[in-house]
Amino acid sequence: MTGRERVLAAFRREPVDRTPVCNPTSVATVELMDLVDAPFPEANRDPEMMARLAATGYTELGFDTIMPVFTIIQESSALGCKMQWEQKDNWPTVRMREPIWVEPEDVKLPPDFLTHKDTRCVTDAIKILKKQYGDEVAIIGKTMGPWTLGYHCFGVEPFLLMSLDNPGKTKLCLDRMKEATIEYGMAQIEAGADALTLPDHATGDLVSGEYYKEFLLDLHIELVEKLPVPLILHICGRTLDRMDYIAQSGMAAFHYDSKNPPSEAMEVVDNRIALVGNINNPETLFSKGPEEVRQEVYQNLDAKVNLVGPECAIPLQTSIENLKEIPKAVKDWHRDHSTPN
Amino acid sequence: MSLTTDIGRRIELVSMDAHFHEISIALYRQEGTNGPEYLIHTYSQLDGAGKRVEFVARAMVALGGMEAVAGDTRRVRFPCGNPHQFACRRIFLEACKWDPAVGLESRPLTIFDKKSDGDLSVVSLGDGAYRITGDAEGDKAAKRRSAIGAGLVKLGEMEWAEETEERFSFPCRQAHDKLVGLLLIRALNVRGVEREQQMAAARGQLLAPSAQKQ
Amino acid sequence: MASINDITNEFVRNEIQEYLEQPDERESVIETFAKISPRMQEIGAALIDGQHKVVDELTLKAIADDIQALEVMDDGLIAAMRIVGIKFRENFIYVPEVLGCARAMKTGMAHIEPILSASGIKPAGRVVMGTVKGDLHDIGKNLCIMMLRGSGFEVFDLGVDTSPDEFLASVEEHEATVMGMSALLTTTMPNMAVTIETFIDEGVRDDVKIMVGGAPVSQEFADDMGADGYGKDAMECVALAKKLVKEQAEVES
Repeated sequence: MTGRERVLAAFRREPVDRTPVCNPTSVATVELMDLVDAPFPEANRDPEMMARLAATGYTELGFDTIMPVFTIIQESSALGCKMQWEQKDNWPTVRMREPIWVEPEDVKLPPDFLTHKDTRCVTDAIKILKKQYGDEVAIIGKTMGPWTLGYHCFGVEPFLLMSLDNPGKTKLCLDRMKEATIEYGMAQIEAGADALTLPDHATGDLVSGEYYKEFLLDLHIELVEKLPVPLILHICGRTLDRMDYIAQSGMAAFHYDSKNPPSEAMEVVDNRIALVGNINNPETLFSKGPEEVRQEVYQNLDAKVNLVGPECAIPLQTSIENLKEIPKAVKDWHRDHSTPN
Repeated sequence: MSLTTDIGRRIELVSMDAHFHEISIALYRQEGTNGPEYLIHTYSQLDGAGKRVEFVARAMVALGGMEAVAGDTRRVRFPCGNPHQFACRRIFLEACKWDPAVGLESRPLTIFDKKSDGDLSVVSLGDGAYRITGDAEGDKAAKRRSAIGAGLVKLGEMEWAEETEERFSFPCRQAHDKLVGLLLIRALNVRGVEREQQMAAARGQLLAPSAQKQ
Repeated sequence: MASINDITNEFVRNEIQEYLEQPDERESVIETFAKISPRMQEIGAALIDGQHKVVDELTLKAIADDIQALEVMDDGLIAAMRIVGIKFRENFIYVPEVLGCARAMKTGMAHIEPILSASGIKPAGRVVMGTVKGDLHDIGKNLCIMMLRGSGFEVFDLGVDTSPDEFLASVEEHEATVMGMSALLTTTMPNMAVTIETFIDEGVRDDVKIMVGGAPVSQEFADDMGADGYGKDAMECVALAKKLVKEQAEVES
């Protein structure tokens, strides 16, 4: 199987020759930036650099996917949020302390939403990657979910307070913001994306599982209907308490965090959705060595997690040898177990 | 064809070098024929990146008392042949910080300490053993010297002498004066060490309820 | 020893019975509230319930009736935030609810702070607070700041994404005794060590006590990077700040 075939089969929960190694989120590092001369922040704004850096996930690290959208801010920039582009070893961020929206009526997509420098960068990068590697690996795009867009555009505290004070108003805002998710997702599909990561940070570190059900489940079901490629929902942090709901959304996969043990997560989702994850970033990939990375890969494989990869965008200082260990460990595990997944 | 190869275990990274176009420079540990060696490496292809890496290697020699691996301008090791990995990371970081326009020179074994309001010196006793002396007198000054000694022990992965808490040495029993000079300024600020000492001193003591942890 | 029935406010009693599961914690909170006047318990109940308009009204009324501002703050607001903190820690409530309670506290503090400032009471200390470089999260930091101000500290809030140089400049400008750094992302935690390193390089490390906090931070991490203390929540932050001010005074004396 090619990497692309393997990944798409895993999203359909069909048999594969081995567990795919997948990054729904960034595996860019400062050393890889040096290798291909594509440093942040420029690599987030120039399609050639973006494609060049993203491709190293396949050409250098050996993953079965290429995911060029390193950050979570492309749409927010196009929507008019104030941005901080930072430097090579720091992530670009949205200035959430200077929100652009307050009321549902403020939620509007500007006419240049898809042609803005920062949204267009992604679609152009996807086209480049599709041309170069499209038959070999799965190209994964990324479109931000409405909850996360809410944080960026309304500000985290005002948005969360709105959800407490006026759930109806919050739902109206979410319903309007989902149009950005759909439009941007479609543009990436048309550019050649095989799948889309959908970060929507209703994490257990901030809100309850019931919040996910109340505010997002129906919206996510609608997004699955509207976006005709496998969708990978990404939520950081503790999410076991909402995985049952997530499994009802119809999404192809859930990209889950290391705070949720693989076997427990698999039990909750009960084969209704594929799981991707969940190698710990700060304590394992960033701080420890290949042996520890291998152990976590094995834990996921032992639990029959469908696709293996880091739990979230990796710290930019992560070592290349730790990242390379992931596909090595997957291959070794399958060799030792000698059965297709 | 992959451009990244197996060059050992990365043990330290400067992600944006302040002295050369913000390249990333890393320190990799490798196993040489005569013990561990450390490779200074960058993936940057910029003109001059190689020379920058060579400077860092020379700086590690000058500042930390390491030596160049024969025939290699980017690889260093300790003359004693031992890893001293934790300390090596510190030497690497200091070497990267060093302004190339300033001549390379090792740090002295004497430093002014604000807390004890006097000079502190680390005396090399031979066989890799050291002791701290200072101008200030009294219990408070003695405790401060002890804390700094503990800081050096932690940062240099050294050992206390069995018979006294005033002597400490490298397990390899070799002198590493330049390294000790480099670590001394950091040792003034090793907070965790002070907490460990307080806890050790409090063990076995009957504390009044108000002084007990809530 | 006080009992739950010594607490006159039914809402507060129910909160303690339903949400405070650790016996020593429950006992301690009961002891505190048993000594608090019914009027202050009413403010506390409104705060726990996130009723910021009620807190506003009751605080104003209490001050108009010549109840001491310090009493309103300690007994009406801070005591209630302790219950909120416990409920949050035990996942009975989440961030939206905590923000609602914090908003209620802020509403009350808006009336109290001017009185305390005008009274000429010397601040408990000067604290510089900020979220580290690259991190934009500040909910926890803001809660800590609120509690620190409530406890009499003068706090200089540097906001989010604070560089080491900004921390340094602020500590020097305000002659702060304590500096607090917050990080909510594991990827930004290393910037705490970078900031401390900057203070060492500039030779001013001994001039200030540095405390750290944030969800991914731990005591071990704090020790490794050379911080003076770690606080796991806003209540611990205040206790730690008080301890560090005392320690710094001893060093400087």
